[in-house]
Amino acid sequence: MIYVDDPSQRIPPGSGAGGSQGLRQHIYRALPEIDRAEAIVTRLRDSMSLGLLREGDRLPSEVEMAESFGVSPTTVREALSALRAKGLVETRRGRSGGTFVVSLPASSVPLMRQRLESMSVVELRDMGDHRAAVSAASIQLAASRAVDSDLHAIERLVEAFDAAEGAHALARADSRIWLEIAVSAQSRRLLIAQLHLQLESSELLWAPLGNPRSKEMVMPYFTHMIEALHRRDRESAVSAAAQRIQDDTFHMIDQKLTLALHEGSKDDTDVR
Amino acid sequence: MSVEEEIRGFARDLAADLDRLFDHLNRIASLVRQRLGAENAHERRWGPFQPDQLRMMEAEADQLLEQHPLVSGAGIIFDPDRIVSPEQLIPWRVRGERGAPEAYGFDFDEHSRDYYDFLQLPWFAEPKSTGAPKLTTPYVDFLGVDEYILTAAVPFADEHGFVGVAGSDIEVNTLEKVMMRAAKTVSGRFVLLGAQGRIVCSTTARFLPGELLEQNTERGHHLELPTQVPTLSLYWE
Repeated sequence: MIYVDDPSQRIPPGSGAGGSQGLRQHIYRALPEIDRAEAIVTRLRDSMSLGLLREGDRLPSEVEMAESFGVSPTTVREALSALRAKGLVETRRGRSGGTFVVSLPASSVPLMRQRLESMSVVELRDMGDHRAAVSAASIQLAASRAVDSDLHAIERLVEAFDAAEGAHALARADSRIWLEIAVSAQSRRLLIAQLHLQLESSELLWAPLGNPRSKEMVMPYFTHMIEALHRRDRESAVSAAAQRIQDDTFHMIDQKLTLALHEGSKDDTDVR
Repeated sequence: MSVEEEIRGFARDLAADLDRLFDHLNRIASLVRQRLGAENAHERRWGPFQPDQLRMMEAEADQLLEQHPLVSGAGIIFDPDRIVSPEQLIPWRVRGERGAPEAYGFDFDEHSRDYYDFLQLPWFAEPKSTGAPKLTTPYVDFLGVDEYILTAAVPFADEHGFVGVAGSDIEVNTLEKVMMRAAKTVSGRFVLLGAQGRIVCSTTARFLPGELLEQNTERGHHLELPTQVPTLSLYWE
């Protein structure tokens, strides 16, 4: 289950994490075999949630998407029609036609719940391990490489996170901080790895299920990380980031176990 | 019912499933040894296998997949020293996307980057040296099926010695699902352990799959699953 990133996809220098065209192309990278139409819907929806696709953005043509996702045009059409049904995109005819993002997805509790139920504890733990590895490496490099303007950018994003309200805004603001840390590490590869991880985990982490992740619990870690970055204290920065992510992982596994053990889950029937 | 009784009930059910699986692997191992062994008598190296012989092995693996929902893949793994055709080393079947069994191809080209060198892996090396069945602890099957699995293997031999194993894979994900379902009726939290104390799955975030159960767990209870072959154990506090 290996999918290959195209090395020709470049992020223009200094373009930051948010709006770059090169980074956006990663939204359209090749997919694993299973449930491809659904996977396309998830990828596009998550990209909208993270603010990588914005209202008014035009998606590539069906043929282009089919090629970059590595699926048939029929599968892309199926995915687009699901997104249209959700009211997230709109297809316009004519010369300036195409498929456009028309609204951003609201955090869907049933969807997040379903996603959490479908992931195993092992998968959640492994996702946490991957996040910890990529984030620790990024912040360690950022501690020695970041200049004042990089630190200011991270600080502004942490302030934005502190001011954010609601699962959706918190998820997006949190992701932006981790992406900016990878940007400060001067590593395109770490940035792309972090982007994939954020697309996968961020909405799930902040989903308002049961006992949601609290901003107040997370803020001290960010404060600690920023102080460490200012002191260029690599160990302390890594340790704060690692603890934060370990907390996230415990939180998600706890949510998962609560769902699995206390309520009837619908996907039970495929085993035994 | 006390928590302990509930956990013992769960242990009995899971043990019965695993025993059924090992019984089935035993039957396949002796069938392959009898049928293919007879047809390859007096030769040290078996094969090359005829299409009907390969179909027989496939059908056996498919039947095992059908009868054991825990299992994600099954087949025969031959010792490379004991068969003629390297491309027939692992007639292996997995559940396809729609649940129907399909063939799974491994890379046997020694010079390839994706070459699957299994000779030292515990599910092969241990049954080969001990002659006894084996359930491994969870591992990431890199270049095999690339999943996080446990493997059950039963060796078979002819007069020249070890020939191969009948094997089946259990995905940790699947085992976890089964455990979660059973755990709904167990009021206490518990942990399922593989060999050497590696956590397979658990019903509490305090113990994460893949980690080793810490040493300071004397106050808890340990229970070996009552299986014929040593398999897994349970821990609870």
